[in-house]
Amino acid sequence: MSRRRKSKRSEQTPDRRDSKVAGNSSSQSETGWNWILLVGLLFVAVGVGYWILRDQSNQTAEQIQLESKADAGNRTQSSIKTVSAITQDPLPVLATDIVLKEQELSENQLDPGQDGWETEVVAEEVKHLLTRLAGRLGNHDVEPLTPSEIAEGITVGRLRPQNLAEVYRDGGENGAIAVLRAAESSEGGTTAEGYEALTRAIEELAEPFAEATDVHVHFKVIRVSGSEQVTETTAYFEADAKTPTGSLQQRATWICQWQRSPEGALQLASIDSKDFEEVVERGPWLVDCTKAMMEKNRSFQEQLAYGLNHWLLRLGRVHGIHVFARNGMSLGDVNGDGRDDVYVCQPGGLPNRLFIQQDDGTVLDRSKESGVDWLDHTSSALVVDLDNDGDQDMVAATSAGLLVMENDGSGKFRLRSTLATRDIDTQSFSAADFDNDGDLDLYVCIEFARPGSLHSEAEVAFVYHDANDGAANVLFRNDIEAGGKWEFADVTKEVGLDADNRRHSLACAWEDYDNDGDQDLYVANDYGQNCLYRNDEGKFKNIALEANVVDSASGMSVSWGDYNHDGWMDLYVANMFSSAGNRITRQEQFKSGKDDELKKIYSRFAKGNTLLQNDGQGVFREVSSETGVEMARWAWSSVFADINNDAWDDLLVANGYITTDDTGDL
Amino acid sequence: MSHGGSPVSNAATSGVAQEQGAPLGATLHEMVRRGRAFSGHERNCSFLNLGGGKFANVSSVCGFDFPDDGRAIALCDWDFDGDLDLWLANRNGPQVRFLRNDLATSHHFLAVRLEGKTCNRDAIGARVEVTVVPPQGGDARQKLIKTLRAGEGFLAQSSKWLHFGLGEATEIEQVTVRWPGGEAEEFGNLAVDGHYHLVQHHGAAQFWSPPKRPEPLEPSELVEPKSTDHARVISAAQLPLPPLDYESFEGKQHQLGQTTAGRPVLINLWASWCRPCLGELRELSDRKSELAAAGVDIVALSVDRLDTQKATATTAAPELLKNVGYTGTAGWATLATTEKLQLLQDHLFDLHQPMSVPTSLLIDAQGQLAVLYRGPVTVDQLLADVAELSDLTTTAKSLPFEGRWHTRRARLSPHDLAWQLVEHGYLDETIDYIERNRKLLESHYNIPKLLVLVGNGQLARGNAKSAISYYRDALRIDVNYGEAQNNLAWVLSTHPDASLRDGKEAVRLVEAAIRADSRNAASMLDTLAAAYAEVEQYEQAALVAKRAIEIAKSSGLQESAKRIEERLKLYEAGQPYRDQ
Repeated sequence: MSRRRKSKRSEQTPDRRDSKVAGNSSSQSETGWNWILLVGLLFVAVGVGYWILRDQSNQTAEQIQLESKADAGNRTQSSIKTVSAITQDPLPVLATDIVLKEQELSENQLDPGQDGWETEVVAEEVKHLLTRLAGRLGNHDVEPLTPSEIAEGITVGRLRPQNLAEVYRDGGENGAIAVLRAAESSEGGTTAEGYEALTRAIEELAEPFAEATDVHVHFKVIRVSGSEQVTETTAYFEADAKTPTGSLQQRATWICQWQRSPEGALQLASIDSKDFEEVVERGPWLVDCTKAMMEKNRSFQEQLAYGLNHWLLRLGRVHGIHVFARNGMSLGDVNGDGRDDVYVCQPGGLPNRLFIQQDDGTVLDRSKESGVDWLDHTSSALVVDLDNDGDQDMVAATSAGLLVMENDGSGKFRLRSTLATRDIDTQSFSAADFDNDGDLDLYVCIEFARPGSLHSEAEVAFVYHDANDGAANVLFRNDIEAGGKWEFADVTKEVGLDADNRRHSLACAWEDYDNDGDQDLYVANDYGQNCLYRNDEGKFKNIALEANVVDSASGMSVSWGDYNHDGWMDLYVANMFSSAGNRITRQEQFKSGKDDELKKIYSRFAKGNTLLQNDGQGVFREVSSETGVEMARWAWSSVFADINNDAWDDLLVANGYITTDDTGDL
Repeated sequence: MSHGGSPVSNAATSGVAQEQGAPLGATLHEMVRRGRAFSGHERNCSFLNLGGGKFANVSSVCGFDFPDDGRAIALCDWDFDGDLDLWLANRNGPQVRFLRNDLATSHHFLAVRLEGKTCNRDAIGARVEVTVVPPQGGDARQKLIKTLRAGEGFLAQSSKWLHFGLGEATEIEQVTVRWPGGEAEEFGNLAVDGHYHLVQHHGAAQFWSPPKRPEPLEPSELVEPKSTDHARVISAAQLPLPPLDYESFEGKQHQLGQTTAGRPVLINLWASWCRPCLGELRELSDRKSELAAAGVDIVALSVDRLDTQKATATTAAPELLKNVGYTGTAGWATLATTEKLQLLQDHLFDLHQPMSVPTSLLIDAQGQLAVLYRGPVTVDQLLADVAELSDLTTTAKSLPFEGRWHTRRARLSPHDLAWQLVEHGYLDETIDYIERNRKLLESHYNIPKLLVLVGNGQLARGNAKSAISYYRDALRIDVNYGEAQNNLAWVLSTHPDASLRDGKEAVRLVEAAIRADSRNAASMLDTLAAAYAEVEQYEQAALVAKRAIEIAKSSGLQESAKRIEERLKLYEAGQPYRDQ
């Protein structure tokens, strides 16, 4: 027992080059991980370790002892349940010294108050106070603010502006959607003073919720500044609810000032709102029909109904299943009946699933019969006609490479080639005919280099905002001969796509952004700058910088669409929005001593998604904030889609990194 | 993924001490692996394009804001009713969702499917332009453009039907397809609210009648079914167990495995305060003759002494075993054993869950973990598993569902476990583990680093001879491994025992290391200076030491600089440095 040292888990790094005996390569630890830790730790829960909470065993040893004695004397009427009689109760966790100490250690690391980030503590407090303030909207579980928490003579702006105007109505009088905003000239309206004014402002805000049910109110504190005496906070306010005719949601940015009471508690000294928006919707819109769609399938009930956390405890790493696994899906008509089918990719050890659409609109699992029930970790797949024979072939991006499968025309597939890549961490991929020779080529994004397969020429330190040590993406040219072998050639280098190609790529999409008739390529990089490769007769050049589309942030998704109907394709790129990152990167303390340029870069990293408007002259202008599509949380697939058929492309953003039972998350 | 590389620490045996913080991203990843949420509970967003360069947030009212840890979005008018439905792939359960678009509007649509003749057959990359006449002779004609793509967003591919919302427009003036390559072709006579096939060089759009619309599916709210802690997991990793010990109730130390060599054994961790444990032990006792016949031994280890939150009398465990009639091997689990078993599980699973009781491990006759049981195991299950033991880990039986492998990994390298053992201070066990599993370990790319770590551990204990042999081992596998060169050179230059020193070799080693890698200049130069001093080239030693100090200072390594300064004084006085 005495042999146990303090845990060194925190000193792990993924590979050997960081491990010199007295390693002092400062670039790595200073520029690289600092930021991840700061923001990361604040993302991660602050609170009590959930595993201790899970321990619900209240049985004492003495009780059991007594029962077992009675039991020993009377084996027929057992009071100790036999195994088969035991229900699936939560198991008691073994709380040894080690488990407790490690937990304590990690909690200390997670307590922002201990790291000198006092504003993080304020942000937490403010979030609670605002939630209580807005409790009147319908969340009656929270205790309203008491007069002692309000500064005397508080200044109160309109929380729901008086001069609300309808800026959008869908479909005339029978319209299903109405959007209300303050008339631009006089946002907010007059301000008033005192506790009663505050009560009134809240009453006004709550008015549309009078008959609402299922009310949710949420705040994200994105900025904390000021002095000991007066603290100013900026927070996003979101409220939504069901109404008798449909649903309702409000969004606004609340700017508050706080002062400290003599006892040291925060008191609200002023409150004002800007960018208020209210959306009223009638009738159903997107309706969850998953159950009716899938329930006939055992593979849904037993496999897909459960999330990754369930499977991570039931399948070992040996199969290729990881906490950070991401698995996608593809639509395509694999059996030629005119209806799309759906292929679902899965982590290692769980078979991918192909669901065939039936006459009644539901789907049936035909993975095995179709020959596509791969157990290898599969990040994504494409359903495309690779040999131009009129049926849909399939490519799956797996840890074993790209598996290229030929369709026999009836929806049965045969593996024709395996396109190995040097690194195995494949992510999104995309097909296009880059050389206009009449067949589809494949560009695949690969994020991390395989541990232990480092390439000496790239043994550069990992730099979070400008990484160049990732895996190399690959362009495979389609060289399939009719009736012959299914061959593909790695032409990455010869077409110039090897430039800026080590940036931890997650997503890519082809588009003829300059309307010159060939396919250009945008690549979103997690840690590196993004790339826009212009296609000049089959040769590529990264012109991201001159086109103003570098979008220095954690790129996770690419979508093209002409959002403003000017005939040029605009770009929507997903990044992660982090309220903690927004707060911290704007503080003096963050990267103190670093130059302002670098600070700006980091600050940009947390800002959210990016909409880049194509001006038709080869340059894009960022319009994310002015159009209102920036704050989209921890975004993954983020795509243009006209979901109300009004001819204007809307945006859909899939969200969330890793959710667990841990409720302490932001 | 890909964060699964080997854990590494910087052991400071010599030269410049490690003054920097740990690579902190790894801390974060470890916390996630231990079940912490990380930007979780974030709901999907959607923004409605209002035209005029503004969007409104409609995440909630449109019914899209699921907290699913969404990943992929695929679009398709699944029911052919003229609006876009959605498929989602998620990290949480349900891993797929189908959202039907039921919005009632007065808007129109156009859906087209393309077929290439000279371009690729799917016409991926084709640009379709639809010019619509505004209703009631509104002002300008509107041109809508879309491109057919295969793979966009993140990990997703949408339908090959291109779907145009047309708003209030009731008339389509023209549809132009720019086929991949740039050739433009016009199609006339398309009406709103229709599905059309547009075939290259065909000239006319072909109206396509969608299949009869099925009865609409019943909507319902769907959440992930509740998961449970209980599980039977077949390891499939062919992983050798680390050395484990226990204490008998009489206080005697035992090595697990000494008594059970060559036979399968079930190690059962139980506690007096754990009711399910007792039921399990009762059943194991009741059917002990069947288990003996099957050739499996049982070792029941009580964790009573270890749980700091539940005080239990030391007499409880033996008494309980007596009461349930258990007569097999039994004793106390030690803290070291439970920690090693935790490390073993953390090695097997990427999500690290603290061990609960009862936990049982079925070990095969080769000393490899075969099956892990969380929660009580029934004797029937145990007998079935023992009967199939040789098959279990090597076949598809280890998986919950049928499927096909392209490349199946036969085993998990024990490397990371050895690493964790040494990281957690189990140096003897690590050495034992390495020696027993050398063949398996040597194929791992990171093995030289592990050997150096063990060497460092031995050196710290004052066992320089063994340290030297591990450093040499590392160099035998990777002759250019800088850290091994540096550390070996340090010992050869500075060890107080003259018989272990070899200044010439030290100079050769560290010079080679510096030539290959200049990034650790300060530490390596420090070693080089010590090596020069050992071969009595004091002037050079002083020169190199000064340079090392400069670099250390400029890297902010003040402590290290100070230490080298002290050594510098020795060199200037014509004396070598001796490590204490």
